[in-house]
Amino acid sequence: MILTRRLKSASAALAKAGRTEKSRYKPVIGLEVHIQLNTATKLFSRASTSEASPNRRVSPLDMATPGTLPHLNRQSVHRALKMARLMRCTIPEWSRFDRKHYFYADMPAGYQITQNERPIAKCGKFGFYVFDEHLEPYWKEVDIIQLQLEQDSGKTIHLDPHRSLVDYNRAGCALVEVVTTPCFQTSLEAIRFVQHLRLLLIHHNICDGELHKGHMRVDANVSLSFDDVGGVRTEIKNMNSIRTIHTAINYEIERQFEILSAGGTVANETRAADADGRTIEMRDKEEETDYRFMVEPNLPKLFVKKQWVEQAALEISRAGKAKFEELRDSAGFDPRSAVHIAEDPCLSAFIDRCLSHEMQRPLLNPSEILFWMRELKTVMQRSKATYPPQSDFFARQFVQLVLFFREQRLTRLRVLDLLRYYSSSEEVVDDVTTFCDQNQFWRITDPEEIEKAVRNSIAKNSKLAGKVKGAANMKSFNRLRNLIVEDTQKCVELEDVQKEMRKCLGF
Amino acid sequence: MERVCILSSFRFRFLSDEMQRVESAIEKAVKLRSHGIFISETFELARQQAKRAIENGITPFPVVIKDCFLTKGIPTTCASQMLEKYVPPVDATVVERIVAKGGCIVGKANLDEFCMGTSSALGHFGPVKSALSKISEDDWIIPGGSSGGSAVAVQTGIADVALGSDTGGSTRNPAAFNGIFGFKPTHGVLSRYGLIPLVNSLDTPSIFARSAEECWQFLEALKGVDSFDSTSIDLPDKRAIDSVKGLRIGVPLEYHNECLSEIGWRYWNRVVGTLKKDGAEIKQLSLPTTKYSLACYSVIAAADVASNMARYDSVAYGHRSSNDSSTNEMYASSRSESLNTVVRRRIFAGNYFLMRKYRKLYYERALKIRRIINDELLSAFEQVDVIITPTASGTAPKYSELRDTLFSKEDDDDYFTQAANLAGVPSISVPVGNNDGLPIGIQLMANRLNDRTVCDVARILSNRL
Repeated sequence: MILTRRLKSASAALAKAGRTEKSRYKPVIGLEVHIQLNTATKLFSRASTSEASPNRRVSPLDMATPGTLPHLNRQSVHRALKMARLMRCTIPEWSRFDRKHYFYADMPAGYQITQNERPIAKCGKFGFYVFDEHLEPYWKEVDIIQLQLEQDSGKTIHLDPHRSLVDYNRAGCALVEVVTTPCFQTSLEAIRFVQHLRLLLIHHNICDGELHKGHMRVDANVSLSFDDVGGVRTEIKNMNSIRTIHTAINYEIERQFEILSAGGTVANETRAADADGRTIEMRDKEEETDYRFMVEPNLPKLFVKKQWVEQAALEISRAGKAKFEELRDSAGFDPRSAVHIAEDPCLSAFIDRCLSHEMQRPLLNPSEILFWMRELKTVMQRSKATYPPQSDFFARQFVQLVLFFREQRLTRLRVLDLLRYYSSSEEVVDDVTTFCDQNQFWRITDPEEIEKAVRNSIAKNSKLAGKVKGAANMKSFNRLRNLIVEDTQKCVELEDVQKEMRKCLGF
Repeated sequence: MERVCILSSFRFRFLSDEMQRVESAIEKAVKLRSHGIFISETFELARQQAKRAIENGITPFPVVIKDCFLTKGIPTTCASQMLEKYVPPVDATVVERIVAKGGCIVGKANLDEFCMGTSSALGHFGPVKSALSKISEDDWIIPGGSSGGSAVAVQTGIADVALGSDTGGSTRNPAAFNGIFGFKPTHGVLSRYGLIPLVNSLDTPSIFARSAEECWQFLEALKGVDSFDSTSIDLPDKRAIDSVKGLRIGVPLEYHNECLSEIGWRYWNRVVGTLKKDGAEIKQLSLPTTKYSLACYSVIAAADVASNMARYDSVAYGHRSSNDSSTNEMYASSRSESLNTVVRRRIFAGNYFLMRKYRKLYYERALKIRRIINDELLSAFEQVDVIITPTASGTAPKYSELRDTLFSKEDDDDYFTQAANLAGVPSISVPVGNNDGLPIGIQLMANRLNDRTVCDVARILSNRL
């Protein structure tokens, strides 16, 4: 809450300073995304990567005991080559590993084995849609500088200012770092990139993509250019949720703007994102760590065989389109919904069931599905059942209801009722057609019948009708309308009731 | 003393010949304790290994392992306080293989701390003293280094064979000073898995023995690609050599330098003359870049040391200082307290050479020079089959001589042996005589993967002398 207020007051200050002033500052954002590969063992040791209690997945190499040597995991290379394919990278004939030195308790060797100078893939491109609630989606292509294979570090847990614990389970797990050019202009573009990348990596069995488990961690380099002249950049490290990335980048942009517009200079430093999405100082990058890069002498050059590249390409094409691509390109969902659905396995499963139950032509169109799913969500608000219901039976009734509505065989209110009914019923019930037949729920469209029903209702509620006639009172009108709807068992569409009422009551 | 003798002779009567070999080794090891040969004695283990070998129909033999090779369940210290209490969870591959062939580990041999030095005098657990002659209580003959303990173990007959390591001459040098054979194979032929590294690209597990045949025998027993060492390679079979007739032997001019002693020069000359008499074709060579090998090696070694020692942060293992007011304090104190000056000096230098602003000036240049030295040596092998040089500048110095010149003489002795490491070629030191009771060694080098050749020529030469 404090955050939003702060941003709001900052924006107000900016507005005061003059709109032209702010537009001369343009955010320049580059990303380094660390992706944990879902291999069974680590990058250079045969320790398992499965989850376990602390320090149960550590081989002598992973805790850098003296005399141990790294041995490259083939599956990691395979996944890296798949990523290279997905990101349309060039794959050089050979790549090499380097040591990047720094002291930290979770980096037991005092260096990380990475690929700095000669990475496994370079010069790629990645395209995705940028979308938002009130934004017309647009396609963006970003340049990928390189993909590098590298070791993950362990985890440090700070108990109190005087004691920290180290867990080496993660130390040595295989990572691919994706380095982009500073081509993102908004935090929205940055998160859409990460979201699309994540869905693709899950689909192609490269990464499990569980962000809360740290499967993908993002560093963002943020600066503001002024009249297109580049500014000093800061690095926000280790963000592992979409929300944090979005908020922290925005926060940083605002923070830098406040400094620069007041005539100050931005310090070239490394910052962390706190729980509320603020960026805070971490360590001084002015005294920039000299990583003293050195070639890793215990690993020979990695010559990439042609069959490996072909195998990777084959697997990519065999896996076909990811769910969000299918929804967007085949089923016709808009880019925003396609991603939103694909990110939620329950929603995806539900959509799949609906789309496979095409009972007749024409097919349900995406906007229909989305509209009625929103309605379904609303009616299920107080239900104990999960939204959306996962049964095949429900999916069939849902599709049927939407079709009946489109064919004007059921009113909107009746459909809502039936959605509520079917989504909350625990025992076996009849299908829509049978149920509607039994209860005469079908919509009444015959004008004579409508007139009869409305007049009957008005007659029953003469006092109320009188109020409406006399004062043309909306409140009373609606009350009377709702009574009529009840009386007619929601078989007359709201619009029809209202039209008839106006006719009968003479206005 | 009396009691011990009675007990051991008691044992003797009830032992088979095979077990007896191991028992004599143990007895000798006990007798020679004042020479500081071992950091850890593993007598019980040796006996168990002997028993097991006999059960498997293999003849056991006593072996000594330099204390920079991992031995499962037995402290491996690298003669440093940092690893004083370190007990590895795995065996080095070469240790595993030698035990499988019947090796019985009598003990872990003493060395220079972290293999840095050619004197074996500066380890945390005390110096190794040559057994060839006794001077006084505070002075002794240097056994060479860094694998001094392994060399003395073989020279005194405690072990038939010892494993050492050779990064700039650490096996050939002590072999020369002790009058035994020290064989450094082609880099990569023996697995480095479990060898605590000094300079990864130069380190070579090496063999001490009392004959060239045994050197070759043990190489055959230990070689073979190891999946745990990504840089390990196969040694393809090569034809044996029976005589030096027609063999082209190169004598590099630049090895006749100011450091070479009179006696060193004389023996070198004599041996070349002998080979010539036996029909070898002697060619003079020039290896002009050799004079830079010292500087080149210093820079590369320091950089690797700084990198390899970065893991000694006391977090998960190793000596931890009681000064732990902050993580950085803990790192700094633990390292400063438990690493000796030689190691610390190299760490500082190495970090300096790798710094972004100095890298091009020092490290990258050293790598380029290494490439030139390498190429020079390899192209020399297009003209000759074997290169012959002194192993060290002369005979072993006294400890007092080294100490008084602040150990600068160590560098002089490295000069002759370094190029073989920089180019990764096989090299052996052959004992060729002695002066005043102190041995002299001659070095033979051949092209990469011609390990058989150096051993064969060493054998022929040694039989001849």
